[in-house]
Order: sequence, then C-alpha cells, then structure tokens
Amino acid sequence: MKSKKLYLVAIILMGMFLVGGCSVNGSTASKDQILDVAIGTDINTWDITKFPEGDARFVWSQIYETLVRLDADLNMVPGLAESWESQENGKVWIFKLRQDVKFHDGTPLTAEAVKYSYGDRAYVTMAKTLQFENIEVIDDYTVKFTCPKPMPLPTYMTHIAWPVVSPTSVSATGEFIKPIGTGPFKYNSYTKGQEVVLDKNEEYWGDEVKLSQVIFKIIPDSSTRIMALTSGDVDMSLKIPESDVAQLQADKDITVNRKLSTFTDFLQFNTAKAPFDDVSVRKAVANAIDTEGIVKNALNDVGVAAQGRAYSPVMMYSAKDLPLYSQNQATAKSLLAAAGWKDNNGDKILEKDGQPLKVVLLVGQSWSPRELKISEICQAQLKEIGFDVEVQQVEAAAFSEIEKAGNFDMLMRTGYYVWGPYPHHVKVHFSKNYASHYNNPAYDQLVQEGESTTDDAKKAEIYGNLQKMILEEVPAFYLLHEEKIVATRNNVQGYEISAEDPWLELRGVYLK
Amino acid sequence: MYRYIGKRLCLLLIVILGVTVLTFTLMHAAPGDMAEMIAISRYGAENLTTAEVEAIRLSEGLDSPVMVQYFHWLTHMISGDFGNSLITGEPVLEEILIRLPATLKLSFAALLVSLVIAIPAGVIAASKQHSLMDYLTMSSALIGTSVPNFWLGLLLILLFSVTLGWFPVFGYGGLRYMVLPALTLGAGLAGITTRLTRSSMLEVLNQDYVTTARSKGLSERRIIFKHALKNAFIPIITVIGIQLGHLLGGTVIVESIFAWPGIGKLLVDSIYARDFATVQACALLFAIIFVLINLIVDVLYLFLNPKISYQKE
Repeated sequence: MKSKKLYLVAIILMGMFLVGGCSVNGSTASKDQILDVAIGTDINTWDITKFPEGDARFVWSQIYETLVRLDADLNMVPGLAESWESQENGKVWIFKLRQDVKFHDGTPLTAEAVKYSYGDRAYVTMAKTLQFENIEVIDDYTVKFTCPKPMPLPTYMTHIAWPVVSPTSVSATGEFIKPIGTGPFKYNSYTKGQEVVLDKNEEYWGDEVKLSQVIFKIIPDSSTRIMALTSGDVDMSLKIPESDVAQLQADKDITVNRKLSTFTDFLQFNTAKAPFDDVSVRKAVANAIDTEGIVKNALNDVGVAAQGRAYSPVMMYSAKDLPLYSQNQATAKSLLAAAGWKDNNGDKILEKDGQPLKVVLLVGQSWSPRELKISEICQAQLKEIGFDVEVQQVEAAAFSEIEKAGNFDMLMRTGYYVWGPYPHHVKVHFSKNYASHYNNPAYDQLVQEGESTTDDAKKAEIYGNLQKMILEEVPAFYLLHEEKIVATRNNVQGYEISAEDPWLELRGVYLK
Repeated sequence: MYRYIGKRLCLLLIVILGVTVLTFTLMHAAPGDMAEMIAISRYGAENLTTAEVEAIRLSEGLDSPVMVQYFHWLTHMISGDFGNSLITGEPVLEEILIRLPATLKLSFAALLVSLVIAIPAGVIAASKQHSLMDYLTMSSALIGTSVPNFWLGLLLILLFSVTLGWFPVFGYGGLRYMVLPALTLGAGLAGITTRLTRSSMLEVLNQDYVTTARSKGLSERRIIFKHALKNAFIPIITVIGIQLGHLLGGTVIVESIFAWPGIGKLLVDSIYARDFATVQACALLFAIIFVLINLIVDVLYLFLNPKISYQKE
C-alpha cells in the first residue's frame, strides 16, 4: 500500500517535469516589440513623497521626465523646459515649458504641474535638498523659482528622483492613485516583488517610441540576472558586477555596454580623532594604496583608477592637470615616521605614545560587492606600511549608528551627492553636512562660493581649487571611478548607454 | 483529545505574547536609530538632517518608552491593525498576504520533493544496511545536506534553464517555475530526512516484534512497510514538522536566486530597514505557524502509535 502511494507521488512529480519541459517555449513566441529588462531591487515608491531608491529610478526614468535633461555624455539639454534663464545672479530661475507635452492621462503639462511637483508634497523640498522662497506661475508655460540664495538650479532639475509629475496622480483627498508622468512609457501594471509593465506612450512629444511595451523583471540576485540574459529570458540586464564582464563579453549573443559613470569610490577619513586628525597620516594612506592595481587586478580593468582624484573625468570642471597619487611605500613610510609613528616592539605595527596604529574601516552591504573586495585590498596594502586595519562590514542601520557615534576611522563610500555632471559631491566634506567628518573653514568657503557664483570661468577655478585641496588635505582618498555596465542581447538595437548612473534611455530602442 | 487541542490553542496565546515581546525588545536593542532609518528610507541617506529625524521620532511615537510603544502596537494588533510598512507605507497585512501564497506553494513543493526522495531512499538504505546501495544513498544524503542552497540553485539554473532550456531561469508562476526552487530546497532537506529515516528504521528493525514477524514467515516487504515504517515515522514526522515551519518562515537565499516573491526576503529587508511593524507581524505569523504545526505533529503521533495518549492517567 505504502509503496504504491510513493510510486504515485513519484509519477506525479515526473509529470511536473514533463509539463515543464513541453510548455517552455510558449511565452516567447508572440514577442514583437516587448523589451524585458532585469533589475535588482523592487520599487519602493511611485510617488514624489519619497526618495526612489536603487533601481526604482531606472523605472521612473521611463515614466517621468525632468525639466532639464542630460544627453548620453552628460551635456545639459532641454527636457520639459525648452529654455531657462537666471536673474539676480542665479537666485531666480525662469523656466519656459514646451507647449506640446501631455501627461499620460491626457492633461497638458502646465506651469501649475511644475509648481505642484516641487511643492509641499515633494520629498525633495520636505528634506530641504531643494529650498525655494517662492514658486510662481507666470503664465501657463512659464514658471519662476526664487531660491533663498544663488544656486545652479538647472543642474538640480536633471535628477530623475525629483521629476515633474501630474497633479492628477493624486485624488482630491490626497490619496496617491498611480504614477502619471510625461515620459515615453506609461504605467500599466505592477506586481510587487515581481514585475512592472509599462506601455508605449502613443502621444509622446519626442520621436515616436519604437517599443510597444517594457517589462521590468525584479531579480535580486546578480548571477540570476546574468543567467536570465544568457538564456534569453530577458533582453537587457542592469547592474552587472565587474567580475562578470569578461564572461559576458565572450558570449557572442550578448553586447556589454560600458561607460564611465559619475560615481567614484572613496575612503573617507574620520578627521575628528587620531590617527586621521593628522594630515600626514592621511597622506600616508594615499601613498600606500595602489588604485591602478585595484582596477587592473580586482576589477578586471572595469573602471578607472582615481589615484585620489575626486571627480570622474566625465564630470563638469574635472581638472586635467592634477598632481595625482601613485603607490609609493617609501614616501608613505617616511610620512608616518615624520608624524611620530614608529615600530618599537617589532610586531610590524607602528606605535605612537604607546598606542598602536590600529584603525577601523567600515563598509556597508548595500551598494556593490566590490566595496568589500576593495576594502580588503586596502587593508593588505596598509598593513605593509605598518597599519593594523580592521575591516567591519555592517548593515545600514548599524553603519549609520557607528558613523554617528564616530567609532570608526575610515568609511568606504561610493557616489554621494552625485547626479548629473555638476560637482555637487564636494558637499560631502562640507563641515555641517550629516556625512562629513571633516572641518576646514577654507574648504567650506570654497564650496559655498562655487555653488553661488554664476560665472562659469570662476566656477571652473573654484572647483579646480577644491579638487587640489582634496588631494592636499585628503579628507578622503578617492580610489576609482565606476563604469556603468548594461548588458543586452544582440536583438536589442538602438541602445546608447548614458553616463548618468541611475538612468536608462529606452527612447530609441527597438528589437530586431 | 479535543480538550487537549483546546488547551494547546490557549497556550498559543501565551507563545504569541512571548514572541512579540521578544521581537519588540530585540528590534529596539539592535544597533541603529529607528527614526533615522525611517528618515533614510523616505529621503535617502544623502539628504538626512537632524531636524527631519527628530520630526519623525515624534510623529511615529518613537520617543515614548519601549513598553508604551509595545502596548500601543498590541492594542492596535488586537483590533486587526498591524500598522503600515515603514518602507513602502502600505498596510503590513497586505504586504504579507501578497507574499504568503508564494511561500506556501514553495514550502509544500519543497517538502514534497524532499519526502519523495528521502523516505524511499532511507528505507532502502536501512533494509540493505552496509550494502553498496546503502553507502551510495548515505553519501548522496551527506552531499545533499552539505551543498549550499545558493550554489545548488545556480547550478540547476545553469543546467536546466540556460543549457537545456527546460525551465525558466526565474520568476513566479505555474508549476514549471516551481520545479527548480523546490528541487534546490528539497535536496537539502532530503539529505537530513534520508539519514533520519535510515537510522529510525534500523532501530525499529532490531526490535523484538520485527524478529517475531520474521519468524512468523512474513515477507521482508510486508515487515518493512506494514510494521516497521509506521513506527519509524514518529521521529521523522517531528523533523518534517520543524522543516515545514522553517520553510514557511521563508527562505531568503532561494527566494533571491529565483526571484521568488516570498516572505523570507520581505522579512530580511524589513529587518535591515528596521521596519518594525513588518517584522512584528512576520514574527507573529511565524509563531502561529510553528505552534500549529507542532500541534498537528503531536496529533499525528496518535494515529501512528495508538499507545501514545494525551489523556491524563
């Protein structure tokens, strides 16, 4: 009796396999212009009341648009605004809107919608990332922003995390209904944790959209994203780790699109306490780490060694003739010796005033697996000049607690205030900033001047000086500039990778 | 027996209370400031200001003592309000119920796979002790338990999806989506269950009543299936119950690899984000599941072995 039942179960299971085997090709048959894209994280918000995290922004950039756009090489070009001009030295900005733009629900794009998008509901104003004294609707297609102080507002208006949305996406009682933007694709459906389906916007104001549908598949594991691409389950895969590039490039059915992005990895120092309150010790670190070797050996030549340079070469005002660092252990050792660090007890770890040169390097878990890998290489290279580095990888909540308490010496970070080509990133070392662990009035002053000046030549000079100051004062040592990697199957045509990190341009894409 | 079940269900309340108090305490003891984590999830880590964090602490009631916060949660929970997720802002109950079917399907499929492999394998190994078959089964069982889930999962995808194209690489849907994740999970469980079945069977096969049955001239087949297996099932059922409990609690690695929208990833993401409303609700659900499964296992004992009784002497 028992054995018969077991056989029955076994037969059912075999049946499961057979059914699976037979029906596998059914779904891919009627696929004309539907693009399947693999992303890594779910959509945490559709509404402007929250910051869209991680890969949500790739989806947002299909539905929503911004006043100012960036082309693939990060030049600012007209978006929903055809033109803009500043008054009062950059304190007031006037944007002229395109007149032929409709939201997905048919309502026209007007100055009121722009005002709504940057009003009290928007997290960007709630979080005071953008502060306005006043937003004024001059006529249907002209909107005037008055900032509390001069600032390069158009560079802010390129960020897909604060786009122009339709006021009709919210009901009369303030309940969010669904995402309504002006982008090339409109929201169709969303299955939590699984997929987002977007349809072609038939009335798109720009060139006709070639794809009929885009389906974003949420696949958390990067290995699965790659296998889904090689098997043809998806046509495009985002967020490919550096270590998988070589393997994908060898696959003749797949194109690996790469472009230097605006993101840079850096080791940030806690300059509030010993040993990194001493600039010589920070400089010793800068001389001890071989960033060229890291890119070549640990990242298979994907990315560009920063050698201490704070801005990726694709950024605005990225200075060309900077005195960069190359690994030089002799210099590093003599800097430490001059600062009073000596190995008195022969354990190969330096000491000063009886204290060993023991430091904690904090690494997060969320950004990229390369962060831990690079941290470990830094640990080994710093050991050669007499540091005892403890690498601590912790989850986000613990990270922020340790950071706030100051119980660390170095932090591994990527990006920070990086969107578009404008060097907003300098604010990370601004003394009043939440994430800053550096206090230099001269630096703070330059940051404020750079932000408020409207003269382009002057801006270039100020940001050039800031870059030099970062190399001399080393509030952080910059390791490498990230390459953005998007892999596509060869049937995907017309895709041009953008240097902007969380941005995906699908307007010209079609399937062959 | 009904009285016994009733009593156990009353105990469930105490277990739930204990589990929620414990989770609540642990969430508050964990490193990180909850108000700050909420602020980060709303505004992004880069846009954080102290004023925002303090505003959230007040609006979310995170400034009151932990006990007060717990009773606040408890009273809402009793009236059916589990609160909103701090990550998505949507009702927690909804978030869980969306994912529950996926978890249920995968758990039962994995358990089925493991039993189909493990029970026959264990019985054969025990009845042919020290044979080549026994050694082969036991070493495969060892491999099954030792191979990490993520590695086996990726290998299965590589073979069955990428190379052979039989099953989809990832996703949630009909049976063919379920095969690879269920195999991945089932293989690991089967290893344990096979070994247990074998040792439990061996123990039973050495009992006097089996010797008696043999001397009566019963066929070996009849002895094994009719007399031994039923008695050997008691420890096996216990372990299966525990395994099922763990499966229903979510399997974050397999869910991530196969992009299976289950509860495991929700829970882990919520813990990282200090989304305590979701964590509390998940803990509550798991406590109920575990207690109910244990109860079912205990009741099953009665059917397997009539000598067991829950009546008072």
